[in-house]
Amino acid sequence: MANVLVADDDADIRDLVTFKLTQSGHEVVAVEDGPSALAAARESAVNLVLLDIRMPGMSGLDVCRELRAEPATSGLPIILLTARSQEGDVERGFAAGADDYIIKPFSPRELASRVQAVLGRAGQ
Amino acid sequence: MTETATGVLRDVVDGFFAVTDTAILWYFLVINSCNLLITLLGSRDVIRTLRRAPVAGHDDAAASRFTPPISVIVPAYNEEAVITEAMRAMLLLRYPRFEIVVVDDGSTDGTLERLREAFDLVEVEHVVPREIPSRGDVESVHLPRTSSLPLVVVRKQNGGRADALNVGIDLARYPLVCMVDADSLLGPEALLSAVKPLMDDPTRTVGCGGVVGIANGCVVRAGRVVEVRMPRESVVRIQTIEYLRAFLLGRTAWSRLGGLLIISGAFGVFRREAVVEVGGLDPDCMGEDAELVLKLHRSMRDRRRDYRIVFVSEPICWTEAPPTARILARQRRRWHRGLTELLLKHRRMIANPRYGRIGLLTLPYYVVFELLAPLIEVAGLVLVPLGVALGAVNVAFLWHFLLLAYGLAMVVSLVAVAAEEFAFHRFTRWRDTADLMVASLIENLGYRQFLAVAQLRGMWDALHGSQQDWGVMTRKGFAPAGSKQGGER
Amino acid sequence: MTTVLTSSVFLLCTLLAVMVLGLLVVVIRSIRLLEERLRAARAAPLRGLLIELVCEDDEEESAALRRLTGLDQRRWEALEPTAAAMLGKVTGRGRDALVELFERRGAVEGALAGLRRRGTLRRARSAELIGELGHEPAAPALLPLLDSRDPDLRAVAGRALGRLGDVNAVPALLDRLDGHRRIPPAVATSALIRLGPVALPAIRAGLGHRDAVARAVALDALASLGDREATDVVAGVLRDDPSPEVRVRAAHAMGFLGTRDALEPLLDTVDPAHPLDLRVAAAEALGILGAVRATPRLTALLRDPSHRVAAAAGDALLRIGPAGHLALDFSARGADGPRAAAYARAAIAAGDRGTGP
Repeated sequence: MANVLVADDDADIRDLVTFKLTQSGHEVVAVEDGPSALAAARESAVNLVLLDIRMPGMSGLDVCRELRAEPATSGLPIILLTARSQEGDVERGFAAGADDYIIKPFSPRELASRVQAVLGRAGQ
Repeated sequence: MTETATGVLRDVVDGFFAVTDTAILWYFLVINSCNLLITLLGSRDVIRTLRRAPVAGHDDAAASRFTPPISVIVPAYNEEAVITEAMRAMLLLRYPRFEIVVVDDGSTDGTLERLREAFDLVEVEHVVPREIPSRGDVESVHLPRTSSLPLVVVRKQNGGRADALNVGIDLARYPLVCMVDADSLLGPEALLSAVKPLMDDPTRTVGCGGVVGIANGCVVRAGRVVEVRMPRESVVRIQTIEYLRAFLLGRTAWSRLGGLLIISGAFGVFRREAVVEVGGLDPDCMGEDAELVLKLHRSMRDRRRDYRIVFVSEPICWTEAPPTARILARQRRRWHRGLTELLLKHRRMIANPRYGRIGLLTLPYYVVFELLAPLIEVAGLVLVPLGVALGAVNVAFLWHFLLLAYGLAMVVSLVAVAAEEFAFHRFTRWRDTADLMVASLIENLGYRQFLAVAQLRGMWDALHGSQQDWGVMTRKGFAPAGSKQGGER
Repeated sequence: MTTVLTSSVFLLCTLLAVMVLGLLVVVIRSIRLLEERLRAARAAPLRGLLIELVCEDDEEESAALRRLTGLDQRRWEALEPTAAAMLGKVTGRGRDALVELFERRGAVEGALAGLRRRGTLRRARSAELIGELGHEPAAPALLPLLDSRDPDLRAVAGRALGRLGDVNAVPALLDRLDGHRRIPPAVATSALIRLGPVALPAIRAGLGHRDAVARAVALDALASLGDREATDVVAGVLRDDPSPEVRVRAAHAMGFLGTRDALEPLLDTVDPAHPLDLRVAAAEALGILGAVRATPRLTALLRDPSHRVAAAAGDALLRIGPAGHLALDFSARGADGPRAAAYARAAIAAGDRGTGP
């Protein structure tokens, strides 16, 4: 099973994702802003990152770009959480190097299976 | 000198002081009663809006394809210290479709270079529509090289803040334009809050202003206010109460009365078409933001259009206030100069029934209770004690003056504090609320008198200012911290 | 003597007012903090249960549902705002479980009763909750709220009606765009779109509405729902509608509908005989339509004396794809004169960076 990092400024989303992924057997670390996400991804052995795009401090896109730019984390699977119809977010997400995106409001079950699929593709 | 002559002179002096001092007393009674009414009206409105915020439907607007796109115009002159972080924060605003147009008004520092490095800008071909005349020519237009961030950076020859805004509005692609200062810190919902009145009444609403709060002392992380706190300097603390009372509650009340005169330059959304129709902002006017609003009122009324210019009271924008008395005095001197010029320029509208509530209510109020207030205040401070010293009026009269001029004003400020606590309760710490209450008391002991003198000097500048210092004064629109606010009290 | 007396009365009044207001602030603040703390203390231990309800399957889910249904009223009131907020954050089975919880707690009956209670805020909250829960039978109860005196309440009712799925709401929504007690057009548009394809016949009927705003809203909704069958009717509106603004919306709608029949009417509409706004809209719509056959006409528009038309034509060519790009490259090299070249180059520049339309 994998170590998953979740970054979202909404406590409800963090807790829902943490519960669901823990239930699916993953180890979950949850943080509430961009800089802590970056720090956590660098320091701990993370296998997958879930990033909210609109976080205070630093956007998920910036975090994504930074992670891609560093050799240690350039291959890390990244899934973005994006609000419905914020124009261009999905395109910008893929341009920043994300592997997949999930639109909020989201279904926790679907999120778990998407995480599984992305992990599978990454060969975990 | 004969005894009768002395007696007559004595009578004349006594009569003069009795009459003027009584008039001053009445003036303060009326001005403070008006302010109390305005504050109560504003408080009622703010409390209502805030209580209804959960059912305002922001999520719907955020998700709709029909939410009108906005061009955010950011004039920048020598802003290399803040520009990159400010743009990163603004690009994260919650809004379906918007672009940010930064207009570098011939900066002599590295404003453009910082942006170029941060967003990997490249120069591109451009066409200037010239729907609004401008002074400084556009030199180049830049876009991010690879990423699809909705950012446009325009480099133009120096021409002042109003001219930079005009170029930005001219190049804006979207039907709504939002004018924002580079050092304004916007909340993530800022555009959604401000667009609501424009969406609710799309055929009539032409402009919408937002609340400007004081950023000094707040906890700011990456261009966003994360915790509201009281500033440490007492000169800024007093401004906090002033902003709360005059800007937030005052403008909310004026908006409710249909006579909003000032939308702060730090944050305002307008229909581009309406701004183009009146020829954009006037680069020769010191208070170009207020002038734009007045010009819109004038043009709409002249063409007998049904229109609205409104104000939203959700806290959405923070800006740095002058941290020292000297800079503050300079700012207020400039604001009052702007107000004087504005009222002189549009004097035909004052008390003119053709201009409805603006002509009959707002403008007369501004002339009597804003423009002339520092004059009467200084006159009172000189004449009432003088009258007592000469024995023309008694000591009790001095007491009345102090109570009506300052005691009543303290009460008005405290009403504003109570409204803040009830509606927004933005201050999380007890200490800050206590500081706010203390500030509303000491505002009247020295601060107001100090500002009145600065404002008088501004008025003097306006009446005697030569054409030559326009350029110099316009430049000061970009002077150090805190001089960003284009509005008047 | 009397002046001294009035002075002291004045002074006393001022001091009293200052003290009362100071005290008021302290009291307001204390009450608020206390309430918040109490609510948080009651809700915190139960929040986990709510998360279980949303995330768990089968037996655990039913267990959580049972426990939450059995909560005493006071604890449920503390938890309800959290639960309501979560309704907007999740979809799928987790959301269904939340809706089930609200129904079992009698929230629908409570909200229906709340609609008739006094107090605008209470009624608005009730309407919002009914909409959030998507309780279709409540639609007739919401309709009268569209005539409420309070504009916020009317808007909430409009939004809620969109979520209930009752197509009878369509004419009611369109009728409220005109007159004394209106609802915001954007509210009506999103409500119609939310009602979905079942509402299409009723929305199409709205194209003949006497009010121009209603027709514009109907057009936006049809375009968004992709009602391809409406192309002919929309073309009629584009050609004949008395309101210029409605014709502009019709042009955009033609672009979004994306049928082959949309091309000719749009090409006719870019003609200089038409009002400027309409020509701009038609040029934009040709780009949205993405029809290669529009390329020559759009290329010619790059020379148009109006900045807005020329710029819109450039953007539209960009959207058309390879054929449009080719035409732009050609114009950029001066094939259609210097003015067209400038607009072509500006469009190419925007397109290369991905900031194009």
